[in-house]
Amino acid sequence: MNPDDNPFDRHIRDKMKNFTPDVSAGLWDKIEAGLARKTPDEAAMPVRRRTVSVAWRWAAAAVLLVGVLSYWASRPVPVIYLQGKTAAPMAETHAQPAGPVAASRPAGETASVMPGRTRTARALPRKVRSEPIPAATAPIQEVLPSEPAVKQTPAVQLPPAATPPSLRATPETGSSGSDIAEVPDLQPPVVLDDTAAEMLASAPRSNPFGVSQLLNFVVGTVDRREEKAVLFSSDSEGSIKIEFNLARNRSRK
Amino acid sequence: MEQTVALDHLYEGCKANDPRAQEMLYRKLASGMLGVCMRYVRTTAEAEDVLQAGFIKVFTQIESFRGEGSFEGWIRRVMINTAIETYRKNGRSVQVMELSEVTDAPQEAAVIDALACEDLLAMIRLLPDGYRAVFNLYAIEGYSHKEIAELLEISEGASKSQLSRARNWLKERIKQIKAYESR
Repeated sequence: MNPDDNPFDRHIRDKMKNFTPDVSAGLWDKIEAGLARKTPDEAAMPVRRRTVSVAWRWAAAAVLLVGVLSYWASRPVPVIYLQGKTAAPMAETHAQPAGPVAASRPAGETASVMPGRTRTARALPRKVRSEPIPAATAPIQEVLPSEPAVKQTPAVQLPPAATPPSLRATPETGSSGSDIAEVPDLQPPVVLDDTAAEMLASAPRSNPFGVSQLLNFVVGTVDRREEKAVLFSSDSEGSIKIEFNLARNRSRK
Repeated sequence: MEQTVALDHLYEGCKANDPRAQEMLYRKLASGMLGVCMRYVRTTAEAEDVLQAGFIKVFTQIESFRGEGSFEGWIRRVMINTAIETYRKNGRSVQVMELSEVTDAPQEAAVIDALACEDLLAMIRLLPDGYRAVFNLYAIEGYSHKEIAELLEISEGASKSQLSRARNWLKERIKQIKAYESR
């Protein structure tokens, strides 16, 4: 009670002392429902355990996100990939003897499997390719049969005005060279020029910001011990390897 | 004495989280505590919300009652604190008014006695928020200005000012009622 008890205050206090209004009937049910929501088990739940669990959930989500984004960013481009890979099989095809096949196929296809011509075209710059190549006749003589069946192929029947200089007949030196001279020098579509080939060859194999490094970084933010539970690595072909350190977990138990 | 003993028993039951003891305590004190809550808010619905939140606090934080003073007094304080918290959550702030000259009106005891509790309560609830809280805490609950200043986060001078203004405001209303009845 305050020392300076005002008579006015005292009158009001005395009047209000016995004021007991009626309470709504359903109020206790609301209080019971409110008490049921605040269960003691919920309050007693260890905070640290929940925190670790949440951290691992976030780490898993981050790993998944980084993986998907990295795969999407470094997905192979079909055109460039095919150009780089098809050059070798073509060379293998050239090494096989093409005698009977060359005789029965059209002139364009026959020219594309000639090993001597392919090598020459790759070594020369593009501006030189438009000129006739006299040195290419020797390998042709070795590979192709000497029968004049090639002379009647559809390529020979093309009108001269529509034929570009690079497809015109090459000057012949041998006896059977006149039969092959009318075969057009078609450029293989899969052969790269020197600059593109060098760029492909010198492309970096390992990326310091690669997928495996990013995944290891994410795991390292959660698992700060020296021996990580999960370790990611990638090989030279770009495959990702996942290693689980089970021995570490066993020794921990 | 019988009620004190019963409250002690109920306290032990509530401490043991016994639902029957909790309900009995509620039945015993709900009406009086609603009367307390109604003085701090403007509507009965708001007062019942405060009462509900206050009883949930009583049952979930009963460990914080250290046996200093009566159990009923502790519950009453919980209700008042809950009402003040609600008052703050609703974005209301205690208005600090400058202290003006307070003229002591003639005692209106007779008029107050003639008024019904509900009418007096209606007058108190019509007070501005800041006035009402300070008047309830000081004049009815018996808090000191220092305690009120800490609870409402205002200065002691502001508490005194609010109290004077509240008294004058109530006396003015009582005078109007007296004048109306004398016609």
